[in-house]
Amino acid sequence: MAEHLIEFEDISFSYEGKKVLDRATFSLKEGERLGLAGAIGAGKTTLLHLVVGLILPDAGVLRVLGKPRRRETDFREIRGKVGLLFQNSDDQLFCPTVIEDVAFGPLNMGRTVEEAKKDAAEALDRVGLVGFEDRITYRLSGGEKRLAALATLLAMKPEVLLLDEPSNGLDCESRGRILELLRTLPQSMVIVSHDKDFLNAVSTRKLSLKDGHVLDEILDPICPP
Amino acid sequence: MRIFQKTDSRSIVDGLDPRVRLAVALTLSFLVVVLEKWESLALAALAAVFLLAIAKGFRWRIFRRHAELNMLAAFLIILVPLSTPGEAVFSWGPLQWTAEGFDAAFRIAAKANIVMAICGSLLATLDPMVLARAAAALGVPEKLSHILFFCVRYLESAHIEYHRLRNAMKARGFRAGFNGHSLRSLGYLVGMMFIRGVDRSDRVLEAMKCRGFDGRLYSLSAFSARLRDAVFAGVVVAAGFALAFVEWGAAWRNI
Repeated sequence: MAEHLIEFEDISFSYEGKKVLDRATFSLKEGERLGLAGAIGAGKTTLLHLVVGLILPDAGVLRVLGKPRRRETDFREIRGKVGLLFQNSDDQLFCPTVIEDVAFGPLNMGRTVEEAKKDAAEALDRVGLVGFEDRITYRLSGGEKRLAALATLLAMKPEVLLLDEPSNGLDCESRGRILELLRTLPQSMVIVSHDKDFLNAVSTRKLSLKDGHVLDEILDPICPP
Repeated sequence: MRIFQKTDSRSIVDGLDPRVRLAVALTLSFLVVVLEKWESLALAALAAVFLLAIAKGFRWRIFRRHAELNMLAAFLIILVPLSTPGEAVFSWGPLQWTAEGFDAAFRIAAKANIVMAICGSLLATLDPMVLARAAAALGVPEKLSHILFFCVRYLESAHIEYHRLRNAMKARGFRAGFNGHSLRSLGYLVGMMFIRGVDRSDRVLEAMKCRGFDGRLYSLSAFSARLRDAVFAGVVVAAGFALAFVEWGAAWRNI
Protein backbone atom coordinates (compact mmCIF):
# COMPACT_ATOMS: atom_id res chain seq x y z
CA MET A 1 0.00 0.00 0.00
CA ALA A 2 1.33 3.35 -1.02
CA GLU A 3 1.70 5.94 1.69
CA HIS A 4 -0.17 8.56 -0.30
CA LEU A 5 -3.62 7.51 -1.41
CA ILE A 6 -4.21 10.64 -3.47
CA GLU A 7 -1.57 13.03 -4.79
CA PHE A 8 -2.19 16.20 -6.78
CA GLU A 9 0.92 17.68 -8.31
CA ASP A 10 0.47 21.10 -9.96
CA ILE A 11 -2.98 20.21 -11.21
CA SER A 12 -4.72 22.85 -13.31
CA PHE A 13 -8.27 22.78 -14.55
CA SER A 14 -10.28 25.41 -16.39
CA TYR A 15 -14.00 25.56 -16.93
CA GLU A 16 -15.51 27.95 -19.48
CA GLY A 17 -12.36 30.05 -19.59
CA LYS A 18 -12.09 30.38 -15.82
CA LYS A 19 -9.16 28.75 -14.02
CA VAL A 20 -10.85 26.73 -11.28
CA LEU A 21 -7.66 25.00 -10.14
CA ASP A 22 -4.28 26.64 -10.74
CA ARG A 23 -1.30 24.38 -10.04
CA ALA A 24 -3.04 22.84 -7.03
CA THR A 25 -0.91 20.47 -4.95
CA PHE A 26 -1.97 18.33 -2.03
CA SER A 27 -1.99 14.73 -0.86
CA LEU A 28 -4.08 12.42 1.27
CA LYS A 29 -2.23 10.00 3.52
CA GLU A 30 -3.51 6.70 4.80
CA GLY A 31 -5.72 7.06 7.86
CA GLU A 32 -6.28 10.79 7.40
CA ARG A 33 -9.59 12.58 7.43
CA LEU A 34 -8.72 15.63 5.38
CA GLY A 35 -11.04 18.59 5.65
CA LEU A 36 -11.12 20.91 2.66
CA ALA A 37 -12.77 24.28 3.12
CA GLY A 38 -13.43 27.00 0.61
CA ALA A 39 -16.10 29.36 -0.63
CA ILE A 40 -18.82 28.19 -3.01
CA GLY A 41 -17.32 28.06 -6.49
CA ALA A 42 -13.76 27.72 -5.15
CA GLY A 43 -13.38 24.38 -6.95
CA LYS A 44 -14.00 21.93 -4.13
CA THR A 45 -16.38 19.75 -6.12
CA THR A 46 -14.11 20.01 -9.18
CA LEU A 47 -11.23 18.68 -7.11
CA LEU A 48 -13.23 15.62 -5.99
CA HIS A 49 -14.47 14.95 -9.53
CA LEU A 50 -10.86 15.04 -10.77
CA VAL A 51 -9.88 12.33 -8.26
CA VAL A 52 -12.33 9.82 -9.73
CA GLY A 53 -11.82 10.95 -13.31
CA LEU A 54 -15.26 12.39 -14.03
CA ILE A 55 -13.28 15.27 -15.48
CA LEU A 56 -9.64 15.26 -16.60
CA PRO A 57 -7.04 17.91 -15.61
CA ASP A 58 -5.57 20.29 -18.19
CA ALA A 59 -2.11 19.96 -16.69
CA GLY A 60 -0.31 18.33 -13.77
CA VAL A 61 0.17 14.83 -12.42
CA LEU A 62 -2.61 13.01 -10.60
CA ARG A 63 -1.78 9.87 -8.64
CA VAL A 64 -4.55 7.81 -7.03
CA LEU A 65 -3.89 4.60 -5.07
CA GLY A 66 -0.22 4.63 -6.00
CA LYS A 67 -0.48 4.97 -9.78
CA PRO A 68 -0.65 7.95 -12.09
CA ARG A 69 -4.12 8.25 -13.65
CA ARG A 70 -4.45 9.89 -17.02
CA ARG A 71 -7.36 8.51 -19.00
CA GLU A 72 -10.80 6.94 -18.46
CA THR A 73 -9.40 3.38 -18.46
CA ASP A 74 -6.97 4.28 -15.62
CA PHE A 75 -9.86 5.51 -13.52
CA ARG A 76 -12.13 2.53 -14.09
CA GLU A 77 -10.13 0.33 -11.73
CA ILE A 78 -10.28 2.84 -8.87
CA ARG A 79 -14.03 3.43 -8.95
CA GLY A 80 -15.43 1.38 -6.14
CA LYS A 81 -12.14 1.68 -4.25
CA VAL A 82 -12.64 5.43 -4.10
CA GLY A 83 -16.22 6.24 -3.17
CA LEU A 84 -17.62 9.67 -4.05
CA LEU A 85 -20.60 11.01 -2.11
CA PHE A 86 -22.43 13.51 -4.30
CA GLN A 87 -23.62 16.83 -3.01
CA ASN A 88 -27.22 16.04 -3.86
CA SER A 89 -28.21 12.56 -2.72
CA ASP A 90 -31.06 12.54 -5.25
CA ASP A 91 -28.40 12.29 -7.95
CA GLN A 92 -26.90 9.28 -6.29
CA LEU A 93 -30.01 7.29 -5.42
CA PHE A 94 -31.64 6.24 -8.66
CA CYS A 95 -33.18 2.86 -7.92
CA PRO A 96 -36.74 2.59 -6.62
CA THR A 97 -35.85 0.81 -3.39
CA VAL A 98 -32.99 1.32 -0.96
CA ILE A 99 -31.69 -2.25 -1.13
CA GLU A 100 -31.53 -2.19 -4.94
CA ASP A 101 -29.57 1.04 -4.85
CA VAL A 102 -27.10 -0.14 -2.25
CA ALA A 103 -26.58 -3.41 -4.12
CA PHE A 104 -26.06 -1.63 -7.46
CA GLY A 105 -22.33 -1.02 -6.89
CA PRO A 106 -21.44 -4.53 -5.69
CA LEU A 107 -23.38 -6.03 -8.64
CA ASN A 108 -21.35 -3.84 -11.03
CA MET A 109 -18.20 -5.10 -9.34
CA GLY A 110 -19.20 -8.61 -10.39
CA ARG A 111 -20.51 -9.86 -7.04
CA THR A 112 -23.28 -12.46 -7.17
CA VAL A 113 -26.82 -11.49 -6.18
CA GLU A 114 -26.43 -13.22 -2.79
CA GLU A 115 -23.08 -11.53 -2.09
CA ALA A 116 -24.41 -8.15 -3.19
CA LYS A 117 -27.41 -8.50 -0.87
CA LYS A 118 -25.06 -9.35 1.97
CA ASP A 119 -22.78 -6.37 1.21
CA ALA A 120 -25.82 -4.10 1.04
CA ALA A 121 -27.22 -5.37 4.34
CA GLU A 122 -23.85 -4.83 6.04
CA ALA A 123 -23.56 -1.30 4.65
CA LEU A 124 -27.09 -0.43 5.77
CA ASP A 125 -26.28 -1.80 9.20
CA ARG A 126 -23.13 0.33 9.29
CA VAL A 127 -25.04 3.57 8.65
CA GLY A 128 -27.92 2.61 10.94
CA LEU A 129 -30.56 2.05 8.26
CA VAL A 130 -31.53 -1.51 9.15
CA GLY A 131 -35.14 -2.08 8.15
CA PHE A 132 -34.97 0.46 5.32
CA GLU A 133 -34.31 -2.19 2.63
CA ASP A 134 -37.66 -1.92 0.86
CA ARG A 135 -38.28 1.77 1.45
CA ILE A 136 -38.72 3.91 -1.66
CA THR A 137 -35.58 6.03 -2.13
CA TYR A 138 -37.30 9.25 -3.21
CA ARG A 139 -39.56 9.20 -0.17
CA LEU A 140 -36.74 9.14 2.38
CA SER A 141 -36.06 12.25 4.45
CA GLY A 142 -33.01 14.39 3.62
CA GLY A 143 -30.93 12.81 6.38
CA GLU A 144 -31.98 9.29 5.47
CA LYS A 145 -31.12 9.95 1.83
CA ARG A 146 -27.63 11.10 2.80
CA LEU A 147 -27.11 7.99 4.95
CA ALA A 148 -28.45 5.72 2.20
CA ALA A 149 -26.12 7.39 -0.32
CA LEU A 150 -23.22 6.78 2.05
CA ALA A 151 -24.30 3.14 2.37
CA THR A 152 -24.19 2.77 -1.43
CA LEU A 153 -20.49 3.67 -1.21
CA LEU A 154 -19.69 1.53 1.83
CA ALA A 155 -21.24 -1.51 0.15
CA MET A 156 -18.39 -1.38 -2.36
CA LYS A 157 -15.87 -1.55 0.49
CA PRO A 158 -13.86 1.50 -0.59
CA GLU A 159 -10.40 2.43 0.68
CA VAL A 160 -11.01 6.15 0.31
CA LEU A 161 -14.16 8.23 0.69
CA LEU A 162 -14.65 11.58 -1.01
CA LEU A 163 -17.48 13.48 0.61
CA ASP A 164 -18.96 16.51 -1.09
CA GLU A 165 -20.72 18.69 1.49
CA PRO A 166 -21.93 15.77 3.62
CA SER A 167 -23.64 18.04 6.16
CA ASN A 168 -25.32 20.29 3.60
CA GLY A 169 -29.04 20.82 4.05
CA LEU A 170 -29.35 18.53 7.06
CA ASP A 171 -31.01 19.28 10.39
CA CYS A 172 -28.98 19.14 13.61
CA GLU A 173 -29.83 15.55 14.39
CA SER A 174 -28.96 14.16 10.95
CA ARG A 175 -25.84 16.30 10.87
CA GLY A 176 -24.77 14.83 14.23
CA ARG A 177 -25.45 11.30 12.97
CA ILE A 178 -23.31 11.81 9.86
CA LEU A 179 -20.57 13.41 11.95
CA GLU A 180 -20.47 10.51 14.40
CA LEU A 181 -20.51 8.00 11.56
CA LEU A 182 -17.63 9.64 9.68
CA ARG A 183 -15.52 9.72 12.84
CA THR A 184 -15.94 5.99 13.37
CA LEU A 185 -15.42 4.83 9.76
CA PRO A 186 -11.98 3.27 9.15
CA GLN A 187 -11.57 4.74 5.65
CA SER A 188 -9.28 7.64 4.81
CA MET A 189 -11.37 10.48 3.49
CA VAL A 190 -11.49 13.91 1.93
CA ILE A 191 -14.35 15.99 3.30
CA VAL A 192 -15.30 19.07 1.37
CA SER A 193 -17.50 21.59 3.13
CA HIS A 194 -18.04 25.22 3.89
CA ASP A 195 -19.48 24.20 7.29
CA LYS A 196 -16.42 25.07 9.39
CA ASP A 197 -17.67 23.56 12.68
CA PHE A 198 -18.36 20.30 10.92
CA LEU A 199 -14.87 20.23 9.39
CA ASN A 200 -13.27 21.05 12.74
CA ALA A 201 -15.14 18.23 14.42
CA VAL A 202 -14.47 15.55 11.84
CA SER A 203 -11.11 16.13 10.21
CA THR A 204 -7.59 15.25 11.35
CA ARG A 205 -6.02 17.85 9.02
CA LYS A 206 -7.47 20.88 7.28
CA LEU A 207 -6.72 22.66 4.04
CA SER A 208 -8.53 25.31 2.11
CA LEU A 209 -9.01 26.23 -1.50
CA LYS A 210 -8.65 29.79 -2.64
CA ASP A 211 -8.06 31.25 -6.10
CA GLY A 212 -7.35 27.78 -7.45
CA HIS A 213 -4.61 27.00 -4.93
CA VAL A 214 -4.68 24.55 -2.05
CA LEU A 215 -3.54 26.41 1.08
CA ASP A 216 -2.11 24.72 4.12
CA GLU A 217 -4.13 26.66 6.66
CA ILE A 218 -7.86 26.89 6.99
CA LEU A 219 -8.90 30.41 6.11
CA ASP A 220 -10.58 32.10 9.01
CA PRO A 221 -13.17 33.36 8.72
CA ILE A 222 -14.59 32.07 5.43
CA CYS A 223 -17.10 34.91 5.51
CA PRO A 224 -15.37 38.20 6.40
CA PRO A 225 -17.33 40.14 9.00
CA MET B 1 -49.33 13.05 -5.13
CA ARG B 2 -48.04 9.69 -6.20
CA ILE B 3 -47.68 8.62 -9.78
CA PHE B 4 -46.76 4.99 -9.28
CA GLN B 5 -48.17 3.03 -6.42
CA LYS B 6 -47.30 -0.41 -5.27
CA THR B 7 -50.29 -2.69 -5.03
CA ASP B 8 -50.45 -5.15 -2.18
CA SER B 9 -53.10 -7.35 -3.75
CA ARG B 10 -52.23 -11.00 -4.03
CA SER B 11 -54.47 -12.38 -6.75
CA ILE B 12 -53.86 -15.40 -8.96
CA VAL B 13 -52.47 -13.07 -11.61
CA ASP B 14 -50.01 -11.49 -9.14
CA GLY B 15 -48.55 -14.94 -8.51
CA LEU B 16 -47.70 -15.46 -12.17
CA ASP B 17 -44.31 -14.90 -13.77
CA PRO B 18 -44.27 -11.32 -15.18
CA ARG B 19 -42.75 -12.59 -18.44
CA VAL B 20 -45.71 -14.93 -18.93
CA ARG B 21 -48.14 -12.10 -18.16
CA LEU B 22 -46.51 -9.77 -20.68
CA ALA B 23 -46.25 -12.43 -23.39
CA VAL B 24 -49.87 -13.52 -22.87
CA ALA B 25 -51.17 -9.94 -22.85
CA LEU B 26 -49.37 -9.16 -26.11
CA THR B 27 -50.42 -12.34 -27.89
CA LEU B 28 -54.07 -12.09 -26.83
CA SER B 29 -54.20 -8.40 -27.76
CA PHE B 30 -52.85 -9.09 -31.26
CA LEU B 31 -55.35 -11.91 -31.70
CA VAL B 32 -58.27 -9.69 -30.61
CA VAL B 33 -57.23 -6.95 -33.00
CA VAL B 34 -57.49 -9.27 -36.05
CA LEU B 35 -60.87 -10.77 -35.07
CA GLU B 36 -63.76 -9.67 -37.30
CA LYS B 37 -66.82 -11.68 -36.29
CA TRP B 38 -69.12 -10.50 -33.50
CA GLU B 39 -69.34 -14.07 -32.11
CA SER B 40 -65.59 -14.31 -31.60
CA LEU B 41 -65.44 -10.77 -30.21
CA ALA B 42 -68.13 -11.70 -27.67
CA LEU B 43 -66.13 -14.75 -26.64
CA ALA B 44 -62.98 -12.61 -26.33
CA ALA B 45 -64.89 -10.11 -24.18
CA LEU B 46 -65.96 -12.98 -21.92
CA ALA B 47 -62.34 -14.07 -21.58
CA ALA B 48 -61.25 -10.51 -20.81
CA VAL B 49 -63.90 -10.15 -18.09
CA PHE B 50 -62.73 -13.47 -16.66
CA LEU B 51 -59.13 -12.17 -16.59
CA LEU B 52 -60.25 -8.99 -14.82
CA ALA B 53 -62.10 -11.14 -12.29
CA ILE B 54 -59.11 -13.31 -11.42
CA ALA B 55 -56.85 -10.24 -11.31
CA LYS B 56 -59.24 -8.67 -8.77
CA GLY B 57 -59.38 -5.80 -11.20
CA PHE B 58 -63.01 -4.79 -10.59
CA ARG B 59 -62.27 -1.49 -9.01
CA TRP B 60 -63.40 2.03 -9.54
CA ARG B 61 -60.15 2.69 -11.41
CA ILE B 62 -60.95 0.10 -14.06
CA PHE B 63 -64.37 1.61 -14.74
CA ARG B 64 -62.87 5.07 -14.98
CA ARG B 65 -60.21 3.81 -17.37
CA HIS B 66 -62.84 2.26 -19.63
CA ALA B 67 -65.07 5.35 -19.39
CA GLU B 68 -62.17 7.49 -20.61
CA LEU B 69 -61.50 5.09 -23.48
CA ASN B 70 -65.17 5.07 -24.47
CA MET B 71 -65.32 8.84 -24.62
CA LEU B 72 -62.74 8.55 -27.38
CA ALA B 73 -64.74 5.70 -28.92
CA ALA B 74 -67.84 7.91 -28.91
CA PHE B 75 -66.11 10.25 -31.35
CA LEU B 76 -65.35 7.29 -33.60
CA ILE B 77 -68.95 6.14 -33.46
CA ILE B 78 -70.11 9.60 -34.49
CA LEU B 79 -67.46 10.24 -37.16
CA VAL B 80 -66.65 6.88 -38.79
CA PRO B 81 -70.21 6.25 -40.16
CA LEU B 82 -69.99 9.63 -41.93
CA SER B 83 -67.00 8.59 -44.00
CA THR B 84 -67.91 4.95 -44.66
CA PRO B 85 -69.86 4.28 -47.86
CA GLY B 86 -72.97 2.11 -47.52
CA GLU B 87 -76.67 2.14 -46.69
CA ALA B 88 -77.73 5.28 -44.84
CA VAL B 89 -79.39 4.70 -41.47
CA PHE B 90 -80.26 8.35 -41.00
CA SER B 91 -79.21 11.65 -42.43
CA TRP B 92 -79.12 15.26 -41.39
CA GLY B 93 -78.82 17.78 -44.18
CA PRO B 94 -75.95 16.69 -46.41
CA LEU B 95 -74.58 14.31 -43.70
CA GLN B 96 -75.28 10.57 -43.92
CA TRP B 97 -74.56 7.97 -41.28
CA THR B 98 -74.23 4.46 -42.76
CA ALA B 99 -74.97 1.06 -41.23
CA GLU B 100 -71.59 -0.29 -42.39
CA GLY B 101 -69.92 2.65 -40.67
CA PHE B 102 -71.69 1.98 -37.37
CA ASP B 103 -70.75 -1.71 -37.64
CA ALA B 104 -67.06 -0.84 -38.15
CA ALA B 105 -67.02 1.81 -35.40
CA PHE B 106 -68.65 -0.45 -32.80
CA ARG B 107 -66.24 -3.22 -33.73
CA ILE B 108 -63.27 -0.87 -33.11
CA ALA B 109 -64.76 0.24 -29.79
CA ALA B 110 -65.32 -3.38 -28.72
CA LYS B 111 -61.76 -4.39 -29.63
CA ALA B 112 -60.32 -1.40 -27.80
CA ASN B 113 -62.26 -2.25 -24.65
CA ILE B 114 -61.25 -5.91 -24.78
CA VAL B 115 -57.57 -5.09 -25.27
CA MET B 116 -57.78 -2.52 -22.47
CA ALA B 117 -59.33 -5.13 -20.15
CA ILE B 118 -56.63 -7.68 -21.02
CA CYS B 119 -53.84 -5.19 -20.38
CA GLY B 120 -55.65 -3.83 -17.33
CA SER B 121 -55.79 -7.24 -15.75
CA LEU B 122 -52.38 -8.63 -16.73
CA LEU B 123 -50.13 -5.56 -17.02
CA ALA B 124 -51.62 -2.63 -15.09
CA THR B 125 -51.28 -4.60 -11.86
CA LEU B 126 -47.57 -5.12 -12.57
CA ASP B 127 -44.96 -2.92 -10.92
CA PRO B 128 -43.53 -0.74 -13.73
CA MET B 129 -40.01 -1.73 -12.72
CA VAL B 130 -40.87 -5.41 -13.05
CA LEU B 131 -42.56 -4.71 -16.37
CA ALA B 132 -39.33 -3.11 -17.64
CA ARG B 133 -37.33 -6.16 -16.64
CA ALA B 134 -39.88 -8.59 -18.03
CA ALA B 135 -39.79 -6.71 -21.33
CA ALA B 136 -35.99 -6.92 -21.37
CA ALA B 137 -36.19 -10.64 -20.60
CA LEU B 138 -38.51 -11.09 -23.60
CA GLY B 139 -35.97 -9.50 -25.93
CA VAL B 140 -36.98 -5.82 -25.85
CA PRO B 141 -33.74 -3.82 -26.35
CA GLU B 142 -32.08 -3.06 -23.03
CA LYS B 143 -32.01 0.67 -23.78
CA LEU B 144 -35.81 0.82 -24.04
CA SER B 145 -36.21 -1.03 -20.78
CA HIS B 146 -33.72 1.37 -19.16
CA ILE B 147 -35.82 4.30 -20.36
CA LEU B 148 -38.89 2.83 -18.67
CA PHE B 149 -36.85 2.16 -15.55
CA PHE B 150 -35.58 5.74 -15.31
CA CYS B 151 -39.01 7.18 -16.16
CA VAL B 152 -40.42 5.42 -13.14
CA ARG B 153 -37.69 6.74 -10.89
CA TYR B 154 -37.51 10.30 -12.16
CA LEU B 155 -41.09 11.11 -13.19
CA GLU B 156 -41.88 11.64 -9.55
CA SER B 157 -38.75 13.76 -9.09
CA ALA B 158 -39.80 15.87 -12.07
CA HIS B 159 -43.28 16.11 -10.60
CA ILE B 160 -41.92 17.36 -7.28
CA GLU B 161 -39.61 19.76 -9.09
CA TYR B 162 -42.55 21.09 -11.09
CA HIS B 163 -44.53 21.77 -7.94
CA ARG B 164 -41.55 23.41 -6.27
CA LEU B 165 -41.05 25.80 -9.19
CA ARG B 166 -44.80 26.35 -9.54
CA ASN B 167 -45.07 27.22 -5.84
CA ALA B 168 -42.12 29.58 -6.14
CA MET B 169 -44.00 31.30 -8.98
CA LYS B 170 -47.19 31.38 -6.93
CA ALA B 171 -45.30 32.89 -4.01
CA ARG B 172 -44.41 35.79 -6.29
CA GLY B 173 -48.01 36.36 -7.21
CA PHE B 174 -48.22 34.38 -10.47
CA ARG B 175 -51.66 33.28 -11.59
CA ALA B 176 -51.96 31.47 -14.88
CA GLY B 177 -54.25 33.14 -17.37
CA PHE B 178 -54.56 33.19 -21.14
CA ASN B 179 -52.11 35.94 -21.90
CA GLY B 180 -48.60 36.40 -23.20
CA HIS B 181 -47.05 36.74 -19.78
CA SER B 182 -48.59 33.47 -18.51
CA LEU B 183 -47.68 31.49 -21.60
CA ARG B 184 -44.13 32.83 -21.57
CA SER B 185 -43.72 32.13 -17.83
CA LEU B 186 -45.07 28.58 -18.14
CA GLY B 187 -42.78 28.12 -21.13
CA TYR B 188 -39.84 29.16 -18.96
CA LEU B 189 -41.01 26.72 -16.30
CA VAL B 190 -41.06 23.81 -18.76
CA GLY B 191 -37.74 24.93 -20.27
CA MET B 192 -36.15 25.15 -16.84
CA MET B 193 -37.38 21.65 -16.02
CA PHE B 194 -35.72 20.35 -19.20
CA ILE B 195 -32.44 22.09 -18.38
CA ARG B 196 -32.44 20.82 -14.82
CA GLY B 197 -33.44 17.40 -16.07
CA VAL B 198 -30.47 17.25 -18.45
CA ASP B 199 -28.12 18.46 -15.71
CA ARG B 200 -29.50 15.95 -13.28
CA SER B 201 -29.21 13.10 -15.77
CA ASP B 202 -25.54 14.02 -16.25
CA ARG B 203 -24.97 13.92 -12.52
CA VAL B 204 -26.87 10.65 -12.11
CA LEU B 205 -24.81 9.07 -14.87
CA GLU B 206 -21.62 10.32 -13.22
CA ALA B 207 -22.72 8.89 -9.88
CA MET B 208 -23.53 5.59 -11.59
CA LYS B 209 -20.15 5.54 -13.33
CA CYS B 210 -18.47 6.07 -9.96
CA ARG B 211 -20.09 2.87 -8.85
CA GLY B 212 -18.91 0.91 -11.85
CA PHE B 213 -21.93 1.18 -14.19
CA ASP B 214 -21.01 -0.25 -17.61
CA GLY B 215 -24.30 -0.03 -19.47
CA ARG B 216 -26.00 -3.00 -17.86
CA LEU B 217 -28.39 -3.05 -14.94
CA TYR B 218 -28.32 -6.08 -12.74
CA SER B 219 -31.29 -7.12 -10.69
CA LEU B 220 -31.57 -8.57 -7.23
CA SER B 221 -34.53 -10.78 -8.01
CA ALA B 222 -34.70 -13.40 -10.72
CA PHE B 223 -37.79 -14.51 -12.63
CA SER B 224 -38.91 -18.08 -12.25
CA ALA B 225 -41.62 -19.76 -14.27
CA ARG B 226 -43.44 -22.47 -12.34
CA LEU B 227 -46.13 -25.05 -12.96
CA ARG B 228 -48.94 -22.52 -12.48
CA ASP B 229 -47.39 -20.35 -15.22
CA ALA B 230 -47.43 -23.32 -17.57
CA VAL B 231 -51.06 -24.07 -16.63
CA PHE B 232 -52.07 -20.44 -17.16
CA ALA B 233 -50.24 -20.27 -20.50
CA GLY B 234 -51.89 -23.56 -21.50
CA VAL B 235 -55.37 -22.28 -20.68
CA VAL B 236 -54.70 -19.08 -22.63
CA VAL B 237 -53.41 -20.98 -25.67
CA ALA B 238 -56.55 -23.16 -25.57
CA ALA B 239 -58.72 -20.03 -25.33
CA GLY B 240 -56.78 -18.55 -28.24
CA PHE B 241 -57.47 -21.62 -30.38
CA ALA B 242 -61.14 -21.48 -29.40
CA LEU B 243 -61.30 -17.86 -30.54
CA ALA B 244 -59.51 -18.67 -33.78
CA PHE B 245 -61.91 -21.57 -34.38
CA VAL B 246 -64.98 -19.40 -33.90
CA GLU B 247 -63.47 -16.79 -36.19
CA TRP B 248 -62.03 -18.90 -38.97
CA GLY B 249 -63.44 -22.42 -38.29
CA ALA B 250 -66.00 -22.22 -41.09
CA ALA B 251 -63.35 -21.15 -43.57
CA TRP B 252 -61.13 -24.06 -42.54
CA ARG B 253 -63.97 -26.55 -43.02
CA ASN B 254 -64.59 -25.26 -46.52
CA ILE B 255 -61.01 -25.85 -47.63
